[in-house]
Amino acid sequence: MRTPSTIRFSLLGFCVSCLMLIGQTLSAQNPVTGTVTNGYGEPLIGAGVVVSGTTIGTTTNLDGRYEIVCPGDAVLEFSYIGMVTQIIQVGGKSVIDVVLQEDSDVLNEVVVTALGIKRSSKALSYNVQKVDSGNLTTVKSTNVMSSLAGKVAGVNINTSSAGVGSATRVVMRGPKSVNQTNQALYVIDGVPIINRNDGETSGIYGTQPGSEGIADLNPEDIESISVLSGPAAAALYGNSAAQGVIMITTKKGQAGKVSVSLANNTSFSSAFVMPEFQNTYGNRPGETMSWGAEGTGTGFEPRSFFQTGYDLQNSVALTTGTDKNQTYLSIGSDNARGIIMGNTYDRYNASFRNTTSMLDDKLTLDFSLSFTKEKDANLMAQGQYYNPLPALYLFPRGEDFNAVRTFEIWDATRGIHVQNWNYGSDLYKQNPYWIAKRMTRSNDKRRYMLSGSLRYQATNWLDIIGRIRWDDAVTKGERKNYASTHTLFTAGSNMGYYGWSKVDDTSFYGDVMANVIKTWDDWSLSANLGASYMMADYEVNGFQGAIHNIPNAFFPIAIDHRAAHNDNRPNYVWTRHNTQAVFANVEIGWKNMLYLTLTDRNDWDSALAGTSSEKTGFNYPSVGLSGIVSQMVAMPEWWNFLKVRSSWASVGSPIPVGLSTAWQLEYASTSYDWSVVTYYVPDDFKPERTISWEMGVQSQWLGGDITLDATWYKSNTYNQTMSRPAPAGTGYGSVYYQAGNVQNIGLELALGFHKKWTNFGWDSNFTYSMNRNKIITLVDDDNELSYISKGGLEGIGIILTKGGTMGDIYDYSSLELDQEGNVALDASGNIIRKTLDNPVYRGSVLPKGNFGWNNEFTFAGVNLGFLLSARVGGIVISQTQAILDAYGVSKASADARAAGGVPVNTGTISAEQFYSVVGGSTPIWQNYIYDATNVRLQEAHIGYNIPSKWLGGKQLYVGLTGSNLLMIFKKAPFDPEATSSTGTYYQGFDYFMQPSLRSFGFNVRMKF
Amino acid sequence: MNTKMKKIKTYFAVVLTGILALSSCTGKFEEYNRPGGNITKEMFNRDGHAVLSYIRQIEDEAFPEQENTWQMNIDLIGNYCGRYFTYTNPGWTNNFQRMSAPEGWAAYPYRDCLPKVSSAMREIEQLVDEDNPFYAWAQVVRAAVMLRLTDMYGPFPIANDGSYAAQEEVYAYLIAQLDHATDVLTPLVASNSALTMGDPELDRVYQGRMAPWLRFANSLKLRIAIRMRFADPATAQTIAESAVAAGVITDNADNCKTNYRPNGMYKTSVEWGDSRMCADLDSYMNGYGDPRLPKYFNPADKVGDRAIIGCPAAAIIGDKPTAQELYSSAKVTAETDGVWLTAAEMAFCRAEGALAGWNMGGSAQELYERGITLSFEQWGAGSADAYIADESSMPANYTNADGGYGSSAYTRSSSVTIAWDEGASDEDKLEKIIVQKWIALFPEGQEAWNEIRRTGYPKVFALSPASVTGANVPNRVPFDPREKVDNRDAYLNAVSLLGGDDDYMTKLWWQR
Repeated sequence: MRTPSTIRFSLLGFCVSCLMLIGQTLSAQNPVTGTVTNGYGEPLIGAGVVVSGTTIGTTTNLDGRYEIVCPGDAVLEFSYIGMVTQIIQVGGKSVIDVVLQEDSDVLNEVVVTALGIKRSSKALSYNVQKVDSGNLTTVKSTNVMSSLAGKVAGVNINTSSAGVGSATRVVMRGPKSVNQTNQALYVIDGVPIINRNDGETSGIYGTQPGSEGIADLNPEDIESISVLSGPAAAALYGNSAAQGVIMITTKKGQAGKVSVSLANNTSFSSAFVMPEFQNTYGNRPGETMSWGAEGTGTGFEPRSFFQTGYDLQNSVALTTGTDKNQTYLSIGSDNARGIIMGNTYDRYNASFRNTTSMLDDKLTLDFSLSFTKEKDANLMAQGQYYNPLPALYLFPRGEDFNAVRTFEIWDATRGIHVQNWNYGSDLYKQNPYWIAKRMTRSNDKRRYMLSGSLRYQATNWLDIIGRIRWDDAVTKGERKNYASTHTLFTAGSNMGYYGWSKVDDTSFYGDVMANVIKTWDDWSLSANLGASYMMADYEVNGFQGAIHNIPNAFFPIAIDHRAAHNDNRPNYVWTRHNTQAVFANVEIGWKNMLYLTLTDRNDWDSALAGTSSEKTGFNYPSVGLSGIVSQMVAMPEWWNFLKVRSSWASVGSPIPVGLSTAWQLEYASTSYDWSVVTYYVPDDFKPERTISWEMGVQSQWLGGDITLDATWYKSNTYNQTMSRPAPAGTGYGSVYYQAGNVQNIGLELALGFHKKWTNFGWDSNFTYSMNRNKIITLVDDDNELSYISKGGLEGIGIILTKGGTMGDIYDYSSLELDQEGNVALDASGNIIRKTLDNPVYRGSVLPKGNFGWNNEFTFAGVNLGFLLSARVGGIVISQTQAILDAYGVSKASADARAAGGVPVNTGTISAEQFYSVVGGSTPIWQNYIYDATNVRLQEAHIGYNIPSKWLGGKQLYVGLTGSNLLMIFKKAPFDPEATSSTGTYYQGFDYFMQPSLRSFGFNVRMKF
Repeated sequence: MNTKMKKIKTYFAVVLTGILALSSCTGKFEEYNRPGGNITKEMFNRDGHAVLSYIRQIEDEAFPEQENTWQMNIDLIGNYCGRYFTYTNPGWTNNFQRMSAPEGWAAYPYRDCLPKVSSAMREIEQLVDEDNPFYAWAQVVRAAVMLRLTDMYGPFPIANDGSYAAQEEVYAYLIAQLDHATDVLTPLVASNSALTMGDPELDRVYQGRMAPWLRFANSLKLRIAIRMRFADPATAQTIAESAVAAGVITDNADNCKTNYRPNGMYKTSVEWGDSRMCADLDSYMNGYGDPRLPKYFNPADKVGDRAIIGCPAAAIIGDKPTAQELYSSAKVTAETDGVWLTAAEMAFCRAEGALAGWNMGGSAQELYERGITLSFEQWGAGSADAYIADESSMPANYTNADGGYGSSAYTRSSSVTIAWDEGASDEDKLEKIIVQKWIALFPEGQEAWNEIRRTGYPKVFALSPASVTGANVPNRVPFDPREKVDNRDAYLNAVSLLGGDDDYMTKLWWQR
């Protein structure tokens, strides 16, 4: 453990070595080169290298490389702030790579910031949280983003309930944009990528969601993920930066001997939270609701429908290299099955990365190529369509479900199997096995990603880097609904339905950047100047429709294409988005204790074509200041480090692509013609803008045993492009306008404890995120209409109002009351549902706070970890429960029957009568709104590092893992953290949502 | 040092050149920002396509066959409240018959249909001037939509500012629109009775032939006049007489039919099986032994005491497949033309006018019998002579199917017979006219519902279970509830123009 004085000493050493660098003339004999890295293998920038007992010295460059000329018997001192100075005898060697041991992470950490710019953590004026690969690959899921949930502050990650392969909703520091995406921007090795997220769905009749681009990554290829939750951090990315950035750094080859690592993660999953059912009351003969006599139930358990899901992930990675050339090669596979039969996800990855140094290490070429083949099938989140759950959950409790398991029967006349289902088609119920197996949707994707960077170290303080990235994904989507599927899903055909589409999703990114790093006396300068170019194309081609003549002939030419109409029609989409930008980043440091950072970026965006911003583009500046207080003033001995930081940024995003275009008339297959747009477009559009402030402190106590990182932020998002439904009388369906101010104020807190005793270590990280979302204004003119409905379920939905939040739930339903305030009854003595003239506010779906507590214990090769996570506040709504009640299949409906009915006023109403009004398709919603607060054991693992001496130097780790192990507290009848949609709205609504998953598994990692 | 500086300068020059090269080309932004598959207004107007296309867009709302538009705007509302059909879907226990329809259903015609019509009309206004025959044509088609919408809700927007006008004003406006249109079209058709405008394929109704469009415009005026005859008898008479004099549809060849495919009723009743014959139509037509009955409906799959059988309105359906096999579906195919205004309806309108003493070019009896004859001819139901002469047949008492849903039996709601009785009271004569008109209007459910609300005929069965309001037939559809938040002032004004609560029971202007 180091004391402040030694820190100051090494700081001094660093400063001295900086001074020595300037104007140094060398007159020595042997050149020595090498790299100085920290314990994570990351280069240390500006580490001091001094020939002991002389003033001869140098500092390391951005890659941690140094070159020094000294006598062959010299002694070199390697120093860096807060790290143990190492003294090494040259002993005639020409290459000396040094790993400096740290005693406090924060002082030395080099972080990769926007655009891949490496910066010293202490200079940062905003919050960057880093999660290492170990934290992402121990308890895995098919989408690596799911593994990040609960581990960083300020980010809400919800996995879609669509089963294996599902997309995630990643929202940082609260939703900001009313109409545009609130999803984070993804960046791989400094380069932003287009993440197509198909996880959005909404409503009872919503289409089922898909996966997302980021899930294509092999988690084993990830070195670390940095989360830039605030706009200041992301300002250099210009558009989309307002939503924050997830920066993924991928693995590189390492110099040294060939090293191969193998990893296997296997897990088995089952439904985590299920509704509570009854099976004592059956149905009356001929009815599909279960309101029969007591004891007529057949004991049906809906859970028996689900299968055990699994997720089997394997990967092999090879790294090899010399001082000049390093190579990384990996292949990986992920084969997963959901708990609903037919839901599958299979992914194969291959990656190659090569880093070469040339021209005396002045030129570095980094090249990588990766290929992903992904196939997903039958993701299913919620709703009535393509969802087996309504038919499953509502199955009449007096009938034998085994009769349904034979879901198809041979029709000898037709020569095909036809559906076997006789239990009603209300809610578009069909045989649940049929829905799962004979109404299939699949996506088959091949994706190539190629990236290269070339860097030239012009002088020791200047380098120039150029990068390109080419990303090309081709996805073939197919939909097959077999003959005898409900004709709603077959375009009326009794021969089945087939739809196919081919999606070409390509993007090109290129940039060039000059990087300067220089120090003079007390001053240091780090500056970057560059330009970037991005082009993204998206094209969909396909055809869909009823099959004619030959049942179940699932290929394109079998589709009935005699006349195109809404059911039988071609699909065609093409969009292009081009962004060009220049940017600059300047960081000025003083005495290694005070840093001022200025960034600026100007974007020209094709989405603004035809607007006043087309030629001028739009500008995004940011300013930040950070000060190391512990360097400025004498601190108590136990207080090792204190940094305060503050930043301001103005970032934004363009309007949606294609909005300002003159090509506005869309083809409408229902009329076989182009139809006029029914939305009103103003004459001019401005980009949306987010102004944000943040302030933070970073502190370490007891020699780094206890760490704290706290950030307060405030962001206001103005100039939002919104559409609101126009009163139909205006002749428009909706009106686009730009106005509004959505404010998010919040707190991000990360408290850590890291301690190693002789044999025992404890690493504990506690995160807390709090965000208060508020719509300050919706429109500029307060006299104007000031409400926007954002949909939901029948009679309940999200309504945006001035002063409200972006998740406010309003309810139109109520019980009819009489004049005395008692519950009014109709002629048959039943309660009456009333539609309210003015909707009533019921709460917000947005959480008040999120907690995560991640622990890792190590003891003599054994490690044990667990993650507890909690969400406090907010509400969720379950129509599943309402419909289960109305159908008499819920436990609540059985309890009410057992109690002889439901007390209303002074009497009782039969449970059946009561729930026919209170539950069902248009329920009285108050009864189905729940507090979303929940606490769970989200992850746990235990493992053992088998001592390498037993294995001849090889490393072997075996472990057991689990996720969603225990729900410690919850009030809703479903998992409130599961979301049916990854969009901004339709959060907190449960309409036969697929249960979230609990999984158990094991993992094995080997390295040799 | 100098060479070093030079080098560095070169590096910066390279970077700056790169920057400029990359970021100085916004020239193609307009092209990049074009969503593929979309076209511009300029392209749309090539070959004069735009006006015709906009007219067709209005036609598709006026005579909606697209399955969703049909179901939401016509089937669920007019066809069910007009007692032609009822639903088989157990999930639809909240509906228009019971006056408890989900908000989204009630709002649908306003929210979906109106913007399509108004936006198309606005584009037409920009392309042609008011005296252009295409403009007149569009006015006629639009009047047909607006009439249906105001007859659903009452006060309705006619100006494009979101405000509502009283129904009386809407009617005056529609009459003025139609007058203007007929003023433009009449001389053109007079000088060329075979006048065809635009590409015949683009007009799904009359293939661009203006003579029948002119007769349709006059027929719409007569429909309007009859509707408002109790609210404003004097104006109604003037309009009706001038419309008849100018020439309404008198021949089935001129019936307003659309060749949109697939037929909307085929989708809802046959393909989706969402609707089945209503018990009321069953009682009247089976009671009369009406030869049109097998032309209207298919025999039920499960044979009971009669081949064609209806289901009581508002019955609580236990199971859809059961309901589907117990009751009769509509006899249509995907290739059937949708029928929206007929010569028979015009004859019955004229009969009612004649009964009121208007000059309709015939006596009430003559026109009543012509209406029946025209309807028989339209449906290919053979000679109507025996039917017209039938003095004894009455609507039948209703018995439900074995295992059916809703009331097991009803006594006939009326004893009205078919044959004209010149000695009967005007009220009895009106019932005869409207009952036959109601049968002949099939499947134009909105008009059927209008007749029940306007005249109280045909008399219909009581609902079981009772509706939310206790009444048997709603008088209107509530306004789009979203207007309460999105367009509050206009909404409040609309309610005051309505002159009652914004519910199902407040009567419309023409009902008073």
